[in-house]
Amino acid sequence: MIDRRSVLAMAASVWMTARAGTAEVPVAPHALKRICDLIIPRTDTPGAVDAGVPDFIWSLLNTWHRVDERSRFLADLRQFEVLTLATDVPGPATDADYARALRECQSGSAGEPMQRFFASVQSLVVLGYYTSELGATTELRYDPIPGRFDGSVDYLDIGRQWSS
Amino acid sequence: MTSNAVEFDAIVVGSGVSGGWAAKELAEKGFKTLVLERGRPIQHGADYVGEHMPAWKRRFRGLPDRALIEKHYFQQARVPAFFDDTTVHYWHRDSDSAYIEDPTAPFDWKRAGVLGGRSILWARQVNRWSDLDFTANARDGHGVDWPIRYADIAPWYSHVERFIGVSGSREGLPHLPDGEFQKPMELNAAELEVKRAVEQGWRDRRVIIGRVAVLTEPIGERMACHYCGPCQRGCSTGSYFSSLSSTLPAAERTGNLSVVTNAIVESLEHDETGKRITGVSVIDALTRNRTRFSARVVFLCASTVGSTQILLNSRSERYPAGLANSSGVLGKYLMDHIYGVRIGGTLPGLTNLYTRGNRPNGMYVPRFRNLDDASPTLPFLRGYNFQGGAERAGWREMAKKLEPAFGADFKNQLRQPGPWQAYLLGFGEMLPVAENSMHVDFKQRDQYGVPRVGFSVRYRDNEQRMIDDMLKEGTAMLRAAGATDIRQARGLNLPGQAVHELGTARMGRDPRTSVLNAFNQSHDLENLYVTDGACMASSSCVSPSLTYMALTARAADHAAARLKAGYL
Repeated sequence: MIDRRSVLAMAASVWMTARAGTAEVPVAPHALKRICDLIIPRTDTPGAVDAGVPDFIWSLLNTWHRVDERSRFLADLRQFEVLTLATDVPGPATDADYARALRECQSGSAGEPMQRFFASVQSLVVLGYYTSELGATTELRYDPIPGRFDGSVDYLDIGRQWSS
Repeated sequence: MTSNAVEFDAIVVGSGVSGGWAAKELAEKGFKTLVLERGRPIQHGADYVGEHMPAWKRRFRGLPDRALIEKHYFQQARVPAFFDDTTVHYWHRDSDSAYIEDPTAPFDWKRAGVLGGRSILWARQVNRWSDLDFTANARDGHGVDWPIRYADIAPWYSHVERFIGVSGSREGLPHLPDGEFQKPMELNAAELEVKRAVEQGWRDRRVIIGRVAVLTEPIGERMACHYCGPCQRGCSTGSYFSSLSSTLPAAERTGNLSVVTNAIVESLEHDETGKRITGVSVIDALTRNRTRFSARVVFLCASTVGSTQILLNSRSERYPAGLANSSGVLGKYLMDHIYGVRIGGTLPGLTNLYTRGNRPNGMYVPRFRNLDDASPTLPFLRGYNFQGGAERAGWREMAKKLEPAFGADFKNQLRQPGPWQAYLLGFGEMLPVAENSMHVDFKQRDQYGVPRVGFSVRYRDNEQRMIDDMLKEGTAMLRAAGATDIRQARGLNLPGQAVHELGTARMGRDPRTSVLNAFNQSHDLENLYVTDGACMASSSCVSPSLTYMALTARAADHAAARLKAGYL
């Protein structure tokens, strides 16, 4: 039986190679989608994946990040995938594995670089979600032209944070 | 061009708050007026491409476009002041022409690159200066005495306020005179708490709503504010004052206005007597062709640095150190407002209250230091004010603080606004000092062949001691309001960052120590007026744009009388 860590390393190296070359990987990798979903899940409102956040982050990595920043992010993401598999249970990483790995990143128990990775990816997911059309209009209150200013209104009349 | 015929009654260089006012007043008085603007032409409304743009339509969702900044806006982007993807098209491109940087005395020069200038991009705070300001130099001996007093300019403040539209509250403060106000905007629930605490704690301190050139009542075709928030993206309803929404259309309606854009004024020419401007030398930014325009009178309104750059670049045998510079003070006494001090804290409670609408304005703490000679002795001269406000923390800030930092609970908590946060930003008066100066370097030229500008400006002891006091008093006021978790920032505090640069061609009573007289007219050349920030003899701590506009209208009235009498 092939060690699952080796499978992962091979898979990761495929898209890493693609990135390093001229061809862009068109879709966000699975691990990034899992992270987005864990940070802002679908509840009574759409979640980060519904709002297209994985593709937003993937597009930023390809157009906004500098080469060294992108390389670091992708290396950290690969390291994150390794973390998801750091368990005695064989088989592909489960949702619980991803959640555990993300907690380890956030708490610092996976090391300082992975804690930085968490802060970086969390801020991108938050930005991507609350500035998306779905996030801004369904999760928050969106009113681009209020037409008035009231300095003291009952919060219950608004019920949510303004999206701006 | 070889023609010697005078083509216009008046030429106005620049189209920002000052240039727009000069154009309107001169054109309305019946003079054929030419506005020369070095920036690109833009249309009111149609070219406000960032207006009401939702976050999801913004390139990079508002993250700075670093590649673009490095290529074209490496100086403009350094000071945030409204520079982002929704306004980038209004700013000057540093790749077209950059100023010289001195790492030992950094100065930031923010410039617009379009018709209307920084009137599109300003923060719209409009307070009157008072005799506390106009007598400051005379009382403590720094700088030269202003040749005017409040009574000279008060009617012109009224004239300007009625046209631009100013919302504000009447407070009866002698050092922050009331104006012609539309109904004020509201302070919000938390700001009212700050006001109550500060006014109870200190008899001499007030917390008021900002006086702002944003309409709360319509004027003509300009509509009352619809509270979308980011004015600087442009306002197609003309609800805030800009040259594009207000003065230039008024000038246009007279039929006396001509506007030439992409017109870089290189220098001014004078006659043999050295007492009259005879021509304005212009480089077309697109073709690099040089042309020349002439008029009976010239108004320099190209901004503090821009106007003085033109004069310093206009060297002649008669004026070897720069045109209109018999005094030798041209380029000197450059000032800005101390800017960068920020005190912030959390105001507990009031979580049942929120706001509706995006108010393009904040609260204002008028100057309370050194108001009269009986004030307790402080270790600095002059004074400062605070602009500030309070708002409930949003998702950007809360996401960094919440526990857990991800998951359904995280999301549910972010749905609510966070606690109220109050903040104060200090704006301080900078003393006029000869060594704080700008120059043009004839050995370093931009792509148009125009000598580049350099600066040598530093905050000195008085400014540093004032900053200490701002931090102390700002903290005390927020603490009195019940704020917790108070954070202070001294800021980088580099001159230029307030974008209130002023001085370098100062007004004064004595031609030996000043460039301009009491009517912004050159002591040396009778048909030259400089009415932008360059004319200022001191900085006050009060935002200067309203005063530039009032001085410009007053100077235009003076020039009009001289033109009609045949003197110019």
